Amino acid sequence: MAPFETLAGPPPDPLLSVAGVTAGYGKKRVLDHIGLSVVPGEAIALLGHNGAGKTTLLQAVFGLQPLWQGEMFFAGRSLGPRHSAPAAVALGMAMIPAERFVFPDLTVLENLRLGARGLNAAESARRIEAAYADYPVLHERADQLAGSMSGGEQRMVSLAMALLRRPSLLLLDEPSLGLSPAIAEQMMRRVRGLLTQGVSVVLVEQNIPAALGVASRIYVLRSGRIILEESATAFAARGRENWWNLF
Amino acid sequence: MSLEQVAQLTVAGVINGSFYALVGAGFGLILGVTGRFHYAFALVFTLSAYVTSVLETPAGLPMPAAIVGGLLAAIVLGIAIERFVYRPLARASGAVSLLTIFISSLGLTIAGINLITLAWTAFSRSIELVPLRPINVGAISFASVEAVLVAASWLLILALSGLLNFSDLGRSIRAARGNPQLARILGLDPDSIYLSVFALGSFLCGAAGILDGARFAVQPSMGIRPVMFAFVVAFLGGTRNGPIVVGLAGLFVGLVESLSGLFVSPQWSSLVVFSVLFIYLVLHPVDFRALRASILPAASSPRG
Amino acid sequence: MDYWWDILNLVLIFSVFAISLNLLVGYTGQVSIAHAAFGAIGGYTAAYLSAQIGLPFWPALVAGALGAGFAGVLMSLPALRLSPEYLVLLTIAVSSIVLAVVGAVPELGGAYGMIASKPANLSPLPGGDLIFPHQWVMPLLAFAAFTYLVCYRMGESAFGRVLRAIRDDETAARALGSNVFAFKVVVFGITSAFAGLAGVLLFYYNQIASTSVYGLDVSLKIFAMTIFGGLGNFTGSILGAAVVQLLQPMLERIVRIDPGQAFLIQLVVYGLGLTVLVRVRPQGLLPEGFSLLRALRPAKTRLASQPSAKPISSTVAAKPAPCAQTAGAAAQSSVILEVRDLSKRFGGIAACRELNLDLQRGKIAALVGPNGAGKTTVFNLLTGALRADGGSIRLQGENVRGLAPDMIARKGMVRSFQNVRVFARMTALENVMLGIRELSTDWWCWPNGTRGGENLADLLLLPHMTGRVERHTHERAMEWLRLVGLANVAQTPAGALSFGQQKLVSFARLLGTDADLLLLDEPASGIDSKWVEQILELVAHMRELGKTICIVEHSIHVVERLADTVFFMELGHITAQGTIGELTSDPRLAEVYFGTV
Repeated sequence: MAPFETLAGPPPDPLLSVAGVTAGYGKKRVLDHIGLSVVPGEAIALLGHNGAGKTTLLQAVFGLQPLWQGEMFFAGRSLGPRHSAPAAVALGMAMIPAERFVFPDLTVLENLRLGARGLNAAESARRIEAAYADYPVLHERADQLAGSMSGGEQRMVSLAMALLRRPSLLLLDEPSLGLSPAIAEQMMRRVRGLLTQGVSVVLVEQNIPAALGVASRIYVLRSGRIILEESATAFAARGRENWWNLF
Repeated sequence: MSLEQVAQLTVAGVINGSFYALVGAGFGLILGVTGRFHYAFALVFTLSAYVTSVLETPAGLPMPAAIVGGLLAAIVLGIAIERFVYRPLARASGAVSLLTIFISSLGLTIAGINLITLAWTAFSRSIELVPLRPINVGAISFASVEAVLVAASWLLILALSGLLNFSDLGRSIRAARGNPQLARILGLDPDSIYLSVFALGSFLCGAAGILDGARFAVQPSMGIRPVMFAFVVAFLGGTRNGPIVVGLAGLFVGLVESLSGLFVSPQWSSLVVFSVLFIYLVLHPVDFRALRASILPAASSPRG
Repeated sequence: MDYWWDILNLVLIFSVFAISLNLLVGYTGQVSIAHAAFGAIGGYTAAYLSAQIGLPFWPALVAGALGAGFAGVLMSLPALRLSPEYLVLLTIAVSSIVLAVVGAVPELGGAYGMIASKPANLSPLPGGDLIFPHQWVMPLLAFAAFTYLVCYRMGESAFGRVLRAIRDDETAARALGSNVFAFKVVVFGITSAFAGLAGVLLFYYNQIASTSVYGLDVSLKIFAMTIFGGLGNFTGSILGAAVVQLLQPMLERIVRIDPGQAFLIQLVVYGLGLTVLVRVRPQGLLPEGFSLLRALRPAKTRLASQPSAKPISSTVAAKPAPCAQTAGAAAQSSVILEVRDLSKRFGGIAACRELNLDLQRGKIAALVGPNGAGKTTVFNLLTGALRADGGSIRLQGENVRGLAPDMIARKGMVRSFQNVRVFARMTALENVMLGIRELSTDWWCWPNGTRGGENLADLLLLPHMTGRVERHTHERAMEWLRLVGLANVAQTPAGALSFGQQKLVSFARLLGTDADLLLLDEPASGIDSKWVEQILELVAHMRELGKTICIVEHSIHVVERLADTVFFMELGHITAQGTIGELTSDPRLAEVYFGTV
């Protein structure tokens, strides 16, 4: 096993911090005493082989996966055993899954309206207009069924949807999955842009270079455990041929 | 086979088909969003008719009030079954929940129908919706109540379709039906969506029960055949499609049943319908995993 | 007194219904609400034949049972691929169709049904015409006992073990080599035949066959009896029949309610009872596994597990004698599996593109690649779970592309599953026993190509031989469990074991199949490090035993420990092959695996 390297001490005022998180499906354990933290305004990436537990960790943070053990804190509040997706949304988190990230039978506008659920009509309309300004393509295709759009366009819809409630933490599961390199780069550029707007990001990615282009810090998971925590530059400096040891 | 015969049978097919459309649309909404095999639909159907009939005579309420009473009874019963029987059972049963829910639904229906018989005897009652009058259009005749049935069925189907397409609740329901996991991620609460869906489905069911009771008679076993047809129509129409498509499937079934009377004697016509279901199940073994996976996860798995 | 004999008689007739339904629902997991309709087929057949050609009791009985059994086989054919929910719907459709037909055909009495032309007469057995209820008691007891014994024999045997495996996890049963479709057809046929038998008895007893006697509500009643008594519990089915039948008489006699009301109240009671029971105690009234026969003879049927002094290597070397092996006579080449140009498309996406692969005998190979490369698809294609579009798969020289998964398993290629898929309600020992079979080419070795308890002919006609095979299977299964270190939990239901233990059970049962090629899907995932060590050692040991192994693994770390050869897959095609060291030093592969900017 590669040596576990940690940065000096826990950060002073994390937006998100989890410790000792253990979880699984049925009898199968997928997460084994995971601990990580995110400070406001930073992007971190979760790297690791398929099945290492990256998606499960996102789901646990978002309240979709109950914990067997461990604690989670968000914006100073403890996320207790009753943590759920509606609670996560109310606290200011948003998540975009790796697959099926739009409602295919609904139009783009309807998808956006669902993203804006809970806002009053006027505010919702205002934010959707703002989304149209950021993503003009969506305005053009407002009445088109989301399922009939290309992968990259659907990703844009999903990103716009997630941002309507102005989350402080965005959990992104494999945003570049299925996208051509050019579109993936566009996607990553947008995510970088979010950081300047004060949104913190937890990114799960198989495409390591793409992740390193966004995140400032990375964690490597292997078989449910964190085996490495490092700055993105240090990880990139290891060189591709040495990444194999971590998978 | 004369043209008049064909026309008469077609009209009969449209009337029956409209009824099947209504029950199919209500049942299909419940099945499509929650995945529950809600056999107790038959019970909701029957209770609604009975409440309306009892409120009309002997309670002596005016017809509109009696109808409201019957519809309320349907909605309350439908919601109660979901909240107190299906939901806890689904949480406890995990992977076999579709089956256990079906079994408990059967049990509820048996118990409920016989409770109704105990309360109001097996003698059939009636509902006087509109004055019974034959209507003649050329050589075709049908009853006034049947005209009301057709009109009401399609009005309700259109209203449901409108609700699903143009309201916030409808959007949430369609979202849950199309991508339940994402619905959950966006903070949609599956439990309350299921309750809304049962309320809407039971409303249509109750209306169908009242119309059927007015057209024929109100008696304890009146719901058994309609729920069978509701199953057939919902599957034929497709559980992911809107009420209008399902309604058209119902119309199709009604016409097939009726027009088969040109070729076989009437007592065989229900055989035709069940054979259609049989053939559908044989030729189109739909991957039920898709439906299973499409059920909102939170409502069918235990909370951590 | 006649009143109580009558009730007893009905309980006995409905026991035949309930016991046979239990074999179908409780053991095999196929929920059917058409049981009374098969009774209708039996009853109407007997009614028609006795009226038209004066057929006496026994031939009419046989004809009715056979007719119903045949109809059951017919119904099972479309049902084979249906999921449980759709199956229930199918049985409801069948029930409605049967009742509609018998209620409409004029020759069958139409809506009024058919009245018996003469009472039942057991000749050549003594007893004369059975007219009074007390005359029926002994014959019905005999029929109920016969049903119980046959169903018990089928259920509590290797045959029943396969049925329960089908109930717990059909896919896993097939992957272990059980011809699931054949078993389902057989079980539908036999249980429907018993329903037909009960239907004939009902006809002669009531002296009438009509649609109300065999309606959907009667099917539901029988279903309720089976559920009340406990799924998988034949004694319980008799109890359930008694409870349901006695409800109304009890209400009338003891609670003194008038018959009309009592009839309705009993229906309310058992309707609510069904709803409550399925929520509170899905197993039914009796604890699962309780049985009259087992309670009476504990020692004989429960084999004690004796530690064997023989080392494992001798177990592997000494193949069981009775039947000839069906292993191909092809010379043992060094390539055990040869795959050429294997292709599979899903819609527009090629999951597998002209894939070529050679697996060397006695070595461990690994498939690695980035997400979406198609690794699990390859396993599914090789084992027949997915139908390939093109290409060839040759196992030990024999083409296996297009064969059913169970056939491929019997030919020597088996797989494990990522989420294990043990048969949760069966013990660890039974899980392993399911993999073990005595292959044979004898003509009556259908459906599984085996002898012994899984073979109905052997089961019912050659009890000694079946017993011997069962003991042998038991011993061998224990050997494998000892090898993986789980001998102490042999009698524990697999569902109660930890995930790591379940993995070991699944490996033991793969070893039990004696297959030469084992495909392991993520063998080391989902378990903590101490278990990983044990699994890795076991997989390496399997290689010592002469097995060929191919694993799909996402953890390069595990691959490094185990694999002799590594195949690199990208976009459905194998683009590189070598040791893990060779592959990880290739910069292009690193780019593919980790992504490019």
